[in-house]
Amino acid sequence: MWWRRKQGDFHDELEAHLQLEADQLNSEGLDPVDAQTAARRALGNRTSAEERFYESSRWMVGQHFLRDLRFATRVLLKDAKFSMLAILGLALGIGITTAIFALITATMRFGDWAAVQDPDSYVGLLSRARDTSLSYSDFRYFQQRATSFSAMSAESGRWGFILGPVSPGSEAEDVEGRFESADFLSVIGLHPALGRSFSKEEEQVAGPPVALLNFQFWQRKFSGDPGVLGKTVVLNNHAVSIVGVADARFAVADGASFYLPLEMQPLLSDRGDWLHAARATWLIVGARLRPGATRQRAQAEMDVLSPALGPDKVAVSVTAGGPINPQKRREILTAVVAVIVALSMILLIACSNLANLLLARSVVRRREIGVRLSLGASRARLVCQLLTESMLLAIAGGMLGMVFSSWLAKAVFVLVNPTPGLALQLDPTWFLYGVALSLVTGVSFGLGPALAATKTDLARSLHSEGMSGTPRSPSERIWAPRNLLVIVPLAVSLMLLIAAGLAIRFVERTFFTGPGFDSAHLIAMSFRLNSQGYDQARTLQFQEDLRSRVAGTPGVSAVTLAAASPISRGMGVFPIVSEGSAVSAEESLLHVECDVVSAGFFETLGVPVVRGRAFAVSDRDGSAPVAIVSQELVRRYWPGEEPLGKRIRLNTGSSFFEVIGVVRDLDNPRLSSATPVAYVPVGQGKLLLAGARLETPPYQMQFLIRSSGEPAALKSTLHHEALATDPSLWVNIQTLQELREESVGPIRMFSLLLSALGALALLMASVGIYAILAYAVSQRTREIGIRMALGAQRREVVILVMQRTVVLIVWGIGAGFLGALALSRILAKGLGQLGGLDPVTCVSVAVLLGTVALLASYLPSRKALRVDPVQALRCE
Amino acid sequence: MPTQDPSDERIALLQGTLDLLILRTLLFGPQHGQGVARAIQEQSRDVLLVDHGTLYPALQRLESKGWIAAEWGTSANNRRARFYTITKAGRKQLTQETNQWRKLATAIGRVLGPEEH
Repeated sequence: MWWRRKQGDFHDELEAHLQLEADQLNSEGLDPVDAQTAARRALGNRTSAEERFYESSRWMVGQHFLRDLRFATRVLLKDAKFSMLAILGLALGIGITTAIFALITATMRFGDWAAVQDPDSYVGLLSRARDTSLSYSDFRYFQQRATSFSAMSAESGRWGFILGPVSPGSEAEDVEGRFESADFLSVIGLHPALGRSFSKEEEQVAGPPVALLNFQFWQRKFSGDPGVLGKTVVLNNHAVSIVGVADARFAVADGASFYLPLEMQPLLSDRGDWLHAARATWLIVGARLRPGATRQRAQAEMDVLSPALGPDKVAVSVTAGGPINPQKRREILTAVVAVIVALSMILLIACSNLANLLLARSVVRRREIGVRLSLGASRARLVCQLLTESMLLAIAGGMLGMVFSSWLAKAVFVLVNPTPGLALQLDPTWFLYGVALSLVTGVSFGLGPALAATKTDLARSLHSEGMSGTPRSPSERIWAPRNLLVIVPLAVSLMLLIAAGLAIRFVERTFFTGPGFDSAHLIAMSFRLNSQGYDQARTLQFQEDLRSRVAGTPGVSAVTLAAASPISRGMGVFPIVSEGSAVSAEESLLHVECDVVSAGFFETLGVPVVRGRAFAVSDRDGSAPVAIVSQELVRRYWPGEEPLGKRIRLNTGSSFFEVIGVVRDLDNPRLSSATPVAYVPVGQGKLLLAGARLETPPYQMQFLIRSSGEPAALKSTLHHEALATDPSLWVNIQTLQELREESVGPIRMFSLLLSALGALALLMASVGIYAILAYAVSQRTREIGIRMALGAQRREVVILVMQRTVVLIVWGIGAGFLGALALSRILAKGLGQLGGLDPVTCVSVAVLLGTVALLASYLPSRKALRVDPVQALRCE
Repeated sequence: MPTQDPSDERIALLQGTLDLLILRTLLFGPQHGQGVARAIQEQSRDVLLVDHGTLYPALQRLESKGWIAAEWGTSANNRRARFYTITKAGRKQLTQETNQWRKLATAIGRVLGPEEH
């Protein structure tokens, strides 16, 4: 039956029945009044019949639901402040969680493994040695001998190159590329989007130099022009012709722009010939199983082939799913789990907050619930109704959160996206995740308070509201779920705030305070001459020539050369040994930064020499080795001694350098600690660095130029000057301030994000504390009233109420410190420079948090003071 | 609820039998609720007691199952009343349930053994 019979109709029918029955009884001889009564008695309980009729309706469940929904909406609208708070809190929690979820899934989609076709038969050949990579000769050996595979390909890590100007008028650019074997696309089932891969001839040592382009790079640099095939570009001073463009799906988020044959490595790199060095393991190898071959068979074959390479060869494992280092896979998994745990904490705060609010509100509504229970509402119906309210809140919060989440995810994506041409797509998984999260949140955190609220003893809730039994001692039930609702958010916000504090202090150290000299007017100009075919003589000639031209440029007040920028970590950190000191283990020695600088370095920076003298032109190759040290080095290494005349050695095997001067520290004097630094003059750099492995040759320096006016104008003049003799050069010109901002930018973002999250957590924790205390106070109204009637002082009442909270706050802060300790360990791994927990941050955060929490608990205790003793006692 | 005299010999209806009796009564033509109650009482020679309060929800249940149809009409003494008619499905149901009931009655009779006088 599709229609529903109306209640009124049923009522009419019963009326008609009474009439008919009375008529009949009347005709049987009863007088009219008696007949009416008898008919009514025969019908029995009319209300019960009508109710049974009502409940037999198939629409009951739906109607209950609709009524609950209407009622819940009305209740929530009535207490708009509460609802807004709950919805906003949930929206933030769910929004942040789903946004990160969207980013993680997007990253995984962009990952290399997503592009692999038919991944079941794709395997990796990983060396069981630590770094898992193979040497070139091993790769070619396996490629020729192994029969289990239909194709095998090798890939190097990313190498940096200087790409010469691609067209007249454009400039050199630094790019990254990978060395690949010819099958690098076909082995994972892809093909070049344009052109072809390397030919047999091009895979010969000293064969024709060729390259494939990354699809995104092709779009960006050549605007997707198909005419790029056959074009010649200059990579590290070698002409390379472009033969193809890789599939758009290949290495989308990788950052490598060029793919070159493995055999071009000796040509393009000045790090030596890695093709013939057996010790150089630099290739990651992937392979496609031949149809019918299993991974076990392939492994057995490799076990036979490997020992034939020689006794010192390590075994090779055949791994499923391609050459992804299991170690790396574990690391990625750990990172993902860590992020998700951190996120769930935020959501947990949001949810516990909601639970707190619901619980606190259930007290206010206890009378209402009691009345409804005593009027015959079943507990199940009431729980359903309360759950409807929390679900409504959760869904509203979830919907708002999804909006917030899509903004956040897109903003973060734009912020971190390194490859142009990628767009973040929010897929159904993201939506489902958000919806599921809201539902789970609504049920799991609504159910507890709903059950608690309806468990009230009827008689008690109706009569004496305040009687809630004697409170047990606080410590006894410290781990009760209700207390955890205070402890956990407090602990989490403490953790987040401490992490934020660490990051902020790091940024402050390197960013806000800056170095101890004027870095806004100091321009750094650096080249990569070694990558562009300049040998030592030509480099020195170029540097000397440019130096004299720059010195003559208007607007330049001073110019100097240094091997490493004064705001970087120098050329490296070396243990310092003084002549005549006892020999001790390297770990126990003081480690200092060092830099090779030309004369005029300290004058250009504006850092005074406080003792002795600065370097002179006469300090050069062949003269007596000399060094200048920083004040901090003297403070730490020769406290109370005369540094001048001491002889030091910075690298085992290098000559001893005589200390001829002491300079002020480069670090900002406002910072508590400075870095010990040692400087040596230009010509003597090779004495210092003998035997050390360096990325750039020691004679290659960067220019430091002090600008007397606005640096922006001078920068373009310098740019012009730098390219005057060779327009194909790559040059980077930035003020030291700009360089510093660039290096701390991500950390600043990170610290801002952490502080925002921490502040959010703090706000939520305070609201939660407020709610839980308001609850506690309202439970003890009667007790407080009696105490006050018996003469308790206001102060005593406040202490009574706050006692429990203080215990909770202390627990929360304690747990938070433990968490922070763990978090700082994790952070220290990712961001080494961040440093450990420092007492200043910890104490200030704990004090801040404690104060806010106490404030949040003071407000409800004031409410306790307003309890009128007479009123409280009359409740009886 | 009407209170029942302990000496009253009338029997309260067994669960589920009311449906059967209603359908059976309606076989003789359209009838309103009060008429159905009276008919059952009279035909059972006042042995079976129909609780008027339970009759109407039962009618409603049968109606929603589609075994009977209802329509407002006028009674013999010019009162407005809701008249019920048995439907085709109702007749089928009646045959089925009557058979079942007979089987049950026979079986119970066998178990109880020959009547003792």
